[in-house]
Amino acid sequence: MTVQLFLQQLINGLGLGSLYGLIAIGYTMVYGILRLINFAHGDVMMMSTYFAFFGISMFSLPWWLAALVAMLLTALLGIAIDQGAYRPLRRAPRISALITAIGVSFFLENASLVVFGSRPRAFHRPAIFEPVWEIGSISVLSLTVYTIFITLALLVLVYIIVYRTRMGMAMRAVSRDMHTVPLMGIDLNRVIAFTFGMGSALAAVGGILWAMKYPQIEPLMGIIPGLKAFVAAVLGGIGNVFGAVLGGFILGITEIMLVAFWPELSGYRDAFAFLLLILVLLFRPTGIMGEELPE
Amino acid sequence: MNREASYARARQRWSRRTRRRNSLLSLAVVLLLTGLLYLAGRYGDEYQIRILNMVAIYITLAVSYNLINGITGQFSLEPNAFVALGAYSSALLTMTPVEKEMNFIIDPCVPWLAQVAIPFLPAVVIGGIVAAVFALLMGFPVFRVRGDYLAIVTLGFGEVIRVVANNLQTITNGPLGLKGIAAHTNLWWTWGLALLTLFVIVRLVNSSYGRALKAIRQNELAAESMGINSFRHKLLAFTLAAFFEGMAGAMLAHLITTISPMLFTFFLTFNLLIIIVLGGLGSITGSVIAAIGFAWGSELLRAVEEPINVFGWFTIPGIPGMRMVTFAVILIAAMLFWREGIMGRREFSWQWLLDTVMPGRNNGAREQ
Amino acid sequence: MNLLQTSNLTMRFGGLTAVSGFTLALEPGELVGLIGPNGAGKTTVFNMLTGRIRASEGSILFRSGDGQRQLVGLKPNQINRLGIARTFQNIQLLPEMSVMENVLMAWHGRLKSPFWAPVLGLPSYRREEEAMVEGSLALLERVNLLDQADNEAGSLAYGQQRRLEIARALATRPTLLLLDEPAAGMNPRETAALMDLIREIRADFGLTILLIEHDMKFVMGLCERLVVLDHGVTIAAGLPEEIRSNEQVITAYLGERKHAAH
Repeated sequence: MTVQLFLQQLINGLGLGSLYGLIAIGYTMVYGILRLINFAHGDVMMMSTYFAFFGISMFSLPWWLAALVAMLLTALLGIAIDQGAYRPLRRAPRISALITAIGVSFFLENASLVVFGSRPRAFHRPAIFEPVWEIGSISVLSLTVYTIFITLALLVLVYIIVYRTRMGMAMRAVSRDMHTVPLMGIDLNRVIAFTFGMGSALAAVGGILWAMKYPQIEPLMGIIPGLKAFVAAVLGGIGNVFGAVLGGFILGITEIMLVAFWPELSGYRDAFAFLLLILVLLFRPTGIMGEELPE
Repeated sequence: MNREASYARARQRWSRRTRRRNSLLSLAVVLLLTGLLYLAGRYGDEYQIRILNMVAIYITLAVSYNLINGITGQFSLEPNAFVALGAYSSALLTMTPVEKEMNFIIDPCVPWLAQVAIPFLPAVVIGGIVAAVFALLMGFPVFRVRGDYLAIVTLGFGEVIRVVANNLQTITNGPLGLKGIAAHTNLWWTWGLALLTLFVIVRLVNSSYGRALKAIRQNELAAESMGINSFRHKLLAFTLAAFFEGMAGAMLAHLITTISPMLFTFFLTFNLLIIIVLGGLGSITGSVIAAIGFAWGSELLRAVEEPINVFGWFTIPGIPGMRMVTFAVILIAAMLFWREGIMGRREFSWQWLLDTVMPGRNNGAREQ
Repeated sequence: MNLLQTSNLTMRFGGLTAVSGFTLALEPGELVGLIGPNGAGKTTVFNMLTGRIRASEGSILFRSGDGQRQLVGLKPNQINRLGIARTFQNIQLLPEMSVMENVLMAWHGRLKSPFWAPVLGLPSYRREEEAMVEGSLALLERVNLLDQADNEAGSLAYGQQRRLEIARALATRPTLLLLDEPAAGMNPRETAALMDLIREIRADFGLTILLIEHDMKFVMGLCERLVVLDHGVTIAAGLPEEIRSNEQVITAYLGERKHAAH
């Protein structure tokens, strides 16, 4: 394995990891405030790609506009799911919300199969992301590099929102103690809705970039990335947005490296994330950047 | 009420005589069932027998799944993985070397497995044990940390099993799967397993252990502070559920005689989830009722996917995949509007039946 | 040897120190009261003693067999099995189960039969279950809840629920009983009955009791010794008469009442 090949795979790994990270942020934020694993999150990411797809193909929007519209629609979808399916169960035992989340996930997948059909659709990759760059003797798809930078930029934005705005402070307060917060005049539902909206919008970015990368979409495309993104969130420390992205990077890099070093194992690459999850639970359950979340 | 009477009344509910009466009543039902199965075996047609077999398998799966999800309250998505493990293990064990050779055309079966062929019953039990071992391995890290992760871990495990089954060409025959599995399964086996599962789980749940599991579900803090080791008990429930699910998988494999990785998708788990929710999370009786209803009813729902012929005038074209969408809507609706399901947390009991049919005459204390 | 010996027990939550330097020695058979204004850290001390939270600093030594066990780091179920039981400030019953089942459950921690014993109907399990049933009935009679045995625990009146929690705690056969505001919400007649009950169970079961309570009549009438906590710090300890006239204690409580007046 030469240094160049290593660096190339490193960048690819970071690119893939960025996508996991963007999706993971949504998981980690929702878990942080509600202790709910939003199983539907990966499928929300899938929906975002279809929103963008139809924006481009049916409404002839320029790709960047379609992406923005898709982000907005996805955010609304995430909020709608929370308000419709999770909010009525706020006071119910936690298992009820988990079961509902699985139900929503299953619904989105199968409704999409019925409405969009199971045949994968080709997704438009904008010209700006097409070129392959040569840096020294490393060749890298420009999309990958853009993905990494977009992710880092969004991470900064998330930091500002979570740590420098009042809404962000409210979010952090809710994740510490959901029941006391309303007593201080904070509208719990607005905070939760905002969290879902933000997480879903970020997942939309991840989804659209994913769709541009592969470049095709189909209704079940969100399942595996969703699972892996959750693993990334746990790995980085559940409840911590930096941890989510860090976990994403680590997962992405190790997955790419695994396939690069041992190509005969490439059939198992999806199983690898699961193994990583078990290891994390065994040896460092709070994750890299995590802290014990109050019950 | 005087002291003696209070004691006597309270004791009766837990007395030996009550227990013996209950056992005799249950035995009578089993004998009745045996008779019915005999009649079905002799006079039923293939379709009806197939449904009866599936009902029994669903009962086994639902009652096991309910043990970890409903009674112990730990949300898990394990069944399809453990069913697959049981199916594959048992099939690989019962297939003769010749049958294996016919199946493993791309890569020969791995030697230590290729020569093995054992009878049905031990293969079924081993199928259960294999599932149970994996349950222990998974449960250990998960329950030690945070039961919250159980769902994701089991969901991921289901995917992993699929991936592994697809790739481990020399053991599972990869995507081709296994064909020509001997059709050992019949009504006696499936219902025997269902009854065994019910026997074990009902007796466990009615014992001190059952109370401990329910305590963990309702208030883990209180349970722990009373000396109950919740980690060990969660692991017990999970492993036991896996054991029976694995054996059900073995039954399934030898019923449909062809298995492949694509067969054990999340849809199976989802169906079971609907069953235990509609039956009433935490009620064994509810799981049985819902399993029976589901096995029968899902046949009806197939109609949603086939073209419907309206009075011979025109046909509404069937929409493939609508069945799954319908199920998803049913589950969400149940969680939002009918969370207790049919039975809630209540169970059928002989005491209740006798009190309803012949009030006031029987052993045992009853509600004011 | 003391039954319980804590030294320098400290609990920090992030930047907040809830309890600092808590030191207490309990002799077998004592009836000690832990008092102080709201938020003083009393329940936090209980939580540390029972393992619900892990002390940030300090040690808890509990007499076990011929020696002592360090309790810091043990899980709640382990600590309970060593002989410490507690009741909770906000009642932690299982509301859907019957009164009888709530008490029956408490015996499980000490059950010797493995899980297959009830499945196979082994006589060893039968005997254990009969003993559990008899023991539970006796305890229910003790706290005057015998005729409620089959009712849902959630349907009980508040005072009855508190007594049920005590019965349940007793079923775990403790040597040390921690009562967290056992008289809360009780009228004077119930409170007096509770005082008698506590004295009786201490005598009959050979218990050592540490209790938290705000009702001063209850505390003064029952406890042999008091420890006063304010903002996590022990500000006074001694006999009830001494504490009653202690300057610092009065100020601590008055401070609380002044805030409450606003």
